[in-house]
Amino acid sequence: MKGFKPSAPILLLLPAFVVLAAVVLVPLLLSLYSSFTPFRLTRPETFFVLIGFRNYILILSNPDFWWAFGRTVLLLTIALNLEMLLGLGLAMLVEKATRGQRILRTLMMFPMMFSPILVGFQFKFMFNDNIGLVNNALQSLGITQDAIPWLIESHLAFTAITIAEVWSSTSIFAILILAGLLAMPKEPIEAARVDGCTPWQTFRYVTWPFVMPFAYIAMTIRSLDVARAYDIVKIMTDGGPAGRTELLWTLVGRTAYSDARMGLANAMAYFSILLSIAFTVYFYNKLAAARAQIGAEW
Amino acid sequence: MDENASARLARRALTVAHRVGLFLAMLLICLPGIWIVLSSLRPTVEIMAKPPVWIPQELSFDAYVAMFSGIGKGGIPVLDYFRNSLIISVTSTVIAVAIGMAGGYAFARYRFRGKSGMFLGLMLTRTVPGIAMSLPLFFVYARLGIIDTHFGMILAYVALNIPFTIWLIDGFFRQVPKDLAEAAQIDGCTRWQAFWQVEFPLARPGIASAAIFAFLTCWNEFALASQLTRSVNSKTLPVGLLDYTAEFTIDWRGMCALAVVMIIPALTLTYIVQKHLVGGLTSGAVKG
Amino acid sequence: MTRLLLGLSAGLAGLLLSSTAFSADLPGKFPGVTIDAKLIGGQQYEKLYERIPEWEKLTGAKVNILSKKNHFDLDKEIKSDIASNSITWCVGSNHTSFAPQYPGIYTDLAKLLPKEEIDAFVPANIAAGTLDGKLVMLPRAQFDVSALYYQKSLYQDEAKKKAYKDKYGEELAPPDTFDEMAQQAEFFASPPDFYGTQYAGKEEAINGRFYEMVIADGGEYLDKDGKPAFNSEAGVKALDWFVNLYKAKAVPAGTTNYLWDDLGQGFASGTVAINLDWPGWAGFFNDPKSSKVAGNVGVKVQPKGSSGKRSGWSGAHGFSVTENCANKEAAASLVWWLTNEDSQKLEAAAGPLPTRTKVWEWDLEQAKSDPYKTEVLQAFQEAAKNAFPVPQTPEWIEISNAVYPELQAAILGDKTSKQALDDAAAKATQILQDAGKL
Repeated sequence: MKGFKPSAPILLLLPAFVVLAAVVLVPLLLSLYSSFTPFRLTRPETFFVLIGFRNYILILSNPDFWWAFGRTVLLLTIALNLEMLLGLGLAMLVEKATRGQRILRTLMMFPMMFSPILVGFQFKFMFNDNIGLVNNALQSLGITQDAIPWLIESHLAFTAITIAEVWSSTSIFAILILAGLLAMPKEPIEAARVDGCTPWQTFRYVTWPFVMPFAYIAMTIRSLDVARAYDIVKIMTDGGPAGRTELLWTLVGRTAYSDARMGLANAMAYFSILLSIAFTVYFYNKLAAARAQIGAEW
Repeated sequence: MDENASARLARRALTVAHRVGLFLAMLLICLPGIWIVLSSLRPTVEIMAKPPVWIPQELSFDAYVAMFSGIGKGGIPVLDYFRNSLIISVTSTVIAVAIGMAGGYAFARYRFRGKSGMFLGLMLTRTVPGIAMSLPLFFVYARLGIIDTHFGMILAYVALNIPFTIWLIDGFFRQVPKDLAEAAQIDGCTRWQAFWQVEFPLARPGIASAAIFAFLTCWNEFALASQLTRSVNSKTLPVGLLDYTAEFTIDWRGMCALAVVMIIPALTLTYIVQKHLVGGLTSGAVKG
Repeated sequence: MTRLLLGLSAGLAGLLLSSTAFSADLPGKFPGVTIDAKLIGGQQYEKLYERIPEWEKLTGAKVNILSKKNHFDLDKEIKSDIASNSITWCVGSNHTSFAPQYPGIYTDLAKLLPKEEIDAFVPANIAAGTLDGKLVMLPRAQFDVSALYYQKSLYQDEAKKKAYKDKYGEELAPPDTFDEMAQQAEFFASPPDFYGTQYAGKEEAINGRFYEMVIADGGEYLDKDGKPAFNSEAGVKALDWFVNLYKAKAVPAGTTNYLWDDLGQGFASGTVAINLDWPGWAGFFNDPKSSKVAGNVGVKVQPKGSSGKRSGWSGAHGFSVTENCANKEAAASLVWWLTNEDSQKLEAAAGPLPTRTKVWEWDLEQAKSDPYKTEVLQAFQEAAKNAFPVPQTPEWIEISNAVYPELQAAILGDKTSKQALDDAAAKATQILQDAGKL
């Protein structure tokens, strides 16, 4: 009987597991535990009181929570789809350009250099109804005489947040889809042209199937990272006014720190994690299917 | 003849449309950024003016000068923040890429049980939103005494970046034909040598693109940094932005100036490596 | 032994002679002591910290600044520290609006500092820093109460004066009551280019404004037993003030998303006639580099509510010493140093309001040659007389967070004022019950 000898892949993956266990898993277990306590930050002794599923019952019976949940799903759906469409368009425009590729690609990634918190401040000022850039421009161009309450009226506020989010994240889609376009072999397109396909047909039946996996990759990456939007929304509206733009994350953030009700907040956070997982797994499966379609082994 | 001419016309129209479309798209992308740069150079009275002042009347570097002057004269410890950001981002990127290479290689080259599930599991560690992580992580860090240290921040960012780097690098190693490494081993290389001399050089662009993504994530991260850093020992630039807010006031111009200081290095770096970046993503991320 | 003797003699001197004799013994000597501190950061607050090295030199102690953040993040950090039992530091920045949340962690400064020194502060400020009989913080010269800023030219315009007189039968003059303020705001407004007034529309900001209006209208926010009482007649009247201004489009449509920074920028842009705002903006508004209304700013004491009382929600920044601190004397000495006369003069010279009686006098004296500054100081000194802090309950911030969305709902017309306040009161009651207070 030899001693236990771990296999090579396990050894290679060990550092990743160790780091993730220390930084993600342990805190995650802690917060799972605390979601069963009435833990309040300002009263540490409450950390040791168990109240079973009370926090979960509390949030599940709270309509505000469900509204925030639904709004978050809606925002994610709209933003991710828009980002993909715009990213696709952008990537195709850049790919077609004959000169200045280097500059264009760098500019395309420009919004990725902006910290989300900065994006929040920036768009809050731009959408200010009184002295903001957007209303000033619309009024100067004579498009409207009114001060449009961008961050107030519920649809507009939602739109404004979506715009900020789309602006800051379309780049990721564009860069990944551009990578796909560049990797594409040129022969099938030539062949399609010779066969007399219209540009639309060429796109639909040749380019798109090839680019699709890249789009799903971007989707998966983005859905892993959606909570980035928290910083933006927090600064722009913080869920307001009157809870009209409340998202899961803003609700969690306020409950956790401002209200100091960490136990309750962690119960909510677990729900938002489930949501992220659902989105990620969904796109991951799509990706696997798309990969299989272009014949890569997995 | 006529047909030829109209075809040429159509092509030209298409080119023009393309140029215009490209220009508009770039304008939309850059406008908010340009607005930030302009805001950092103009006095506040012009930025927030109504009726708006479209053409800058006076430009000055006052905000930048103030940023670097001492505390109390409108200065913030920008050099400290910059140093912290640089150390934390670069170190954690390097470590994340190293760990990502090991992990990616394992996924690409070995068959083992539960591989697919393990892979997805790794990805899912990334779904935990920073706002939900920050307090439990703080608890752990407080026990370990690594609050407000470079080490703590680097550790957190490494964990943040591992899933994505593994993914990208894994895909890339798949692109490198197995036979190459095997041939090298037959020629008498050890597996280790074969890796460094054959597989690594071929996978380099993929690794570069993983690195730039990791770097940008660290450079801009706010939610964790605001909880885990406290003083000039470890505060990073995004957290430093809030130095321009007081209880009732905000110095938007100063904040913009600091934002420009943050953006320029990231932009320069992207410009330098963008070729690798796109190339790396091309074969790396997807085919895998 | 010498220290004891020194202390004794100083105590006697303090009792028998003037307070200056005692102050001479502060800051004291603490060689080898290191004080860990968490201080509020941000440009407005940091100039004061340049005085720390001097204290270090005088006392032989060292100050180790653990963190510098804005107040909201500092609040988060202190809560995290409480939660993880890691209050290992000595001196922390504090604020009268946040202090009630963590009553247990700070020690009574009245026991550590001579009475004369504490008496040198404005009594109302000391009262605001006292929780359950414990003086938990000593205020620095960053005292905040609101006064009315207005564009002077509007009140000198003959055509406007006449139009106003014709319409309302009254002379046009800067408002003295909230009713007048609302009436004039509607009169001046001409959206989307110009607005009568504006208000902060979210978070503690709107709740604070509502709170002071309830008091000014003769109501109570929490009653004697700590029960929410703002859904009274006075409460409805107070909330209606906000609602009606919004309905009349006398305030910018975005006002329910505004925080203090938006208000300041708005008034500075010259598009708002009257603005109830904090002293921190006084310099900003009158600086041609930052403000279009520079040279045209008038300042007046805050208006009266329907009960004849003036609103006066106030807050003060200060410093506290933790119970866990190993060397409380040294920590208290540092707190004293940062709030003493010289420190307050240093801060007040840049615009913020002092909290020591003597420094108020000095400040007014300094401003003599500057009519704008004199006007500002006189208005705010008058305003300070009406100042009161937030209800000193640990649940204040949590109640705020529950109440403000309801206030917004009323303002935006989703609910009637009464309905919104009843809902808010129900939520606030729930919070207090959960906390075991009712």
